[in-house]
Amino acid sequence: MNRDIFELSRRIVAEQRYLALKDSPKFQQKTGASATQGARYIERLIFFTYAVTAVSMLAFSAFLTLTQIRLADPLAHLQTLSLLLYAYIFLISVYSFIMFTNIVRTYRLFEPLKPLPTNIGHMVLPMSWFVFTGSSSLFVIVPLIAAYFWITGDLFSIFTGTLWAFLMLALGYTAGSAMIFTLSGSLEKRPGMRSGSLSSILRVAGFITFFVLFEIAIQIPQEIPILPSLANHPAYMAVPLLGIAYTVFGGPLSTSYAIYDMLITVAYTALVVFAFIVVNRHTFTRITKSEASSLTGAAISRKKLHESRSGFYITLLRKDMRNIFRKSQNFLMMLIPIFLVLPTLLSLFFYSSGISFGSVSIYYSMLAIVIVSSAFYPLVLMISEGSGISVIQALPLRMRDIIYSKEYVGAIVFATIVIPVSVLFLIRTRGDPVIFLLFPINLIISFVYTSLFNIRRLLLKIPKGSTTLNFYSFGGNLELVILFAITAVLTALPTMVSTVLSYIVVKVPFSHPVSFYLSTLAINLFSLLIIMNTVNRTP
Amino acid sequence: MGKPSIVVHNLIKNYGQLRALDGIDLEINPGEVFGLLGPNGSGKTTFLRIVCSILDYTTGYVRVSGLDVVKDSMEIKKITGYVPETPVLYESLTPTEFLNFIGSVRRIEHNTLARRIESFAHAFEIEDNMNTFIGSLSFGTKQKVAIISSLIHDPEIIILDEAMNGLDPRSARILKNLLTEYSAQGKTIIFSTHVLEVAESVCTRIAIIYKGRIVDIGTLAELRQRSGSKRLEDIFLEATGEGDLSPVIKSLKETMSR
Repeated sequence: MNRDIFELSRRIVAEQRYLALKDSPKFQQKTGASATQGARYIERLIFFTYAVTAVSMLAFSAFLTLTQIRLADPLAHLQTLSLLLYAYIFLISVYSFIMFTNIVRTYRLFEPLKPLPTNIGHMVLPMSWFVFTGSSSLFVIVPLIAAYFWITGDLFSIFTGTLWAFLMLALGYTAGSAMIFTLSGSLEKRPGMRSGSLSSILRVAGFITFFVLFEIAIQIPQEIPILPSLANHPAYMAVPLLGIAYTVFGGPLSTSYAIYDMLITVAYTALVVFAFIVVNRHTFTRITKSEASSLTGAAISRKKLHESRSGFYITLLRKDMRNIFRKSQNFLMMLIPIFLVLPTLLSLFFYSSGISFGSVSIYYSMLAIVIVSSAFYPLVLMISEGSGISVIQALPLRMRDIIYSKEYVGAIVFATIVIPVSVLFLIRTRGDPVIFLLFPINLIISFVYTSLFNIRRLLLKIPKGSTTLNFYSFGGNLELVILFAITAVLTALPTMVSTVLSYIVVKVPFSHPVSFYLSTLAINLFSLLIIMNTVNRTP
Repeated sequence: MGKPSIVVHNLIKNYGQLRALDGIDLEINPGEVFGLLGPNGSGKTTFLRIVCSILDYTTGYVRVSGLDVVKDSMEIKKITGYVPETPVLYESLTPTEFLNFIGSVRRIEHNTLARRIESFAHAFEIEDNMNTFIGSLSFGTKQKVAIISSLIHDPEIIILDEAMNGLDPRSARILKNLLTEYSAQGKTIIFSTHVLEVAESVCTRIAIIYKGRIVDIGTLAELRQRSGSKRLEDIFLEATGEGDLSPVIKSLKETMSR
């Protein structure tokens, strides 16, 4: 039975990679006509991508750990770092599980199991995700635990530190599952655009609030009323996540505290395992529900046989909007940047020093959402096509038509997030009316030109004759990292130039934010023109 | 007979080291319903996808209505209608939304599009399904939507890959009659199928493709004359070297009785 679960887990991952690669000339060239060579190539690729992720996690964490232990009071710094790294495991596992299940749902990878007399599917899903994808993020805590052990010689921390890492991973899986289960149920019961009902909005808002509280707990725990009063109290150790810093990395423990630490760890393990068991089966049922049963069979309207007159780009935009907002697996991917970045930004409200330079400082912080969204949305917009890419390829559409239509969808979603958040921040910083206009416009233009660049880059990667698209068709996590790097450079350059320019002009740029925003606008528009020119020259 | 609408010369397509098409030569004229027969994996779909300019070839020469399938891809897609082997549609759209999307992208005038959608929906009896998500439709209904989407812009060249799959007898008959009508209008139709009766009743000329090569080509009468057999099934099995199937059946029976 366990062997069956493992083999099926491997098959699910291999299938994901095969679907992504089968139309690429490189894959066809390397594997030729041999199925054995193809299988070996895919096995190697799975191992390679896992190893690359694990090594980059190790390198990223080693860099952070080394910088911390060189400082005075290294234990205190390691303690703070532990909060960030364990939170990182949690957030990465939420993101990676949603991406993983997107492919499973889009291509119905569990469908062949349905006629078979077996019910191991619900174990295959977590196993497949954990062994071949999720566990690679555990490597991020290895340098931290090693450094802590090196300084304190505390063997116990190796055990509890590792256990907490597994717990964070399981918690991420459970949170990702809960999001899929809750939001899918809300979206797929109703046909048409009614999916944006009050219930869906409340559910999304509920998850955003959860992530905001999570971010605040990590970055500024003193802002959660009950926490400061608990400091130095044993109960503080029981606060999720904060407990890691105090129990595992809180310095040498007395015997009674070590026992207490152990009890808390065991209690959390039991809690997470219980949550996992409760959520997992429901999520599996939801994920493997066929399209036919998840999308309602009832007619949206009885008589309608044609739609209102619309322009060419509006037609493409409407198709993409429907494809994303009616399929919860696509919609969830659009929410990931919101869940991962927005809470960090919102936590700034409670972080007074974060807005010491007024709106300019906030603007710099908001660039984070530009970078994450510009890297992520192009990928999501392409992946959401799925096998629809073969419909697109058979139509007389130019590449630039597809680039612009995807861009419109991304820009609308981005503007919907950024405008209210900007207004919120500007009210708090009492920005003047000109800034109210320039602030979001600059952010939106930044998003537009960077995402145009990224969409074009991804579209050019799709081989002619492709019949399927998924996360791995573009290179998976590696491509996402590349997109992040490109977007960071493209976003940062105009802002940096503008900062220097406004410094030259007014000497203290932050004291005269309008000139900063105006020069940023000019440079952003220039960047937009250059990138649009490149896009317009695409065949 | 005027200029051929499709000209293929020494067409080779490799997938890595696998040769899917191995030197195809043929010409198809306007008004022909050209049948492509062949066992699974013989290269039919690859050939059709190349003609539609969806897939690039390795070497050779392919012209559709005088246009180069690689250089003039956009123009070719405007004049062709293609039904893939399995209906690939946006499952979160309804047939109405999907067909309006296709019509709009193909720049069909709004009223004309509305009229055509109504007419096709009525002909294929899918009016009641037009506002239901495609994902919840049966295979046959999806196939009907795919067929309508490939014909809605009144293409010059119609390419159907196993288009009869899943169709009920009434819809199959309508499609056959439509193809005959289109052929009379001078449109070119290429039709791949496993159902030999369909090929027999619709196609004006047939090519049998096997392991990426055309092993026989001609009108049904010509094929019969060459093989000396009256049934297309026998001609097909003989041309693909699979004439005597009794050893295969015998072996299967033995395996199952063990």
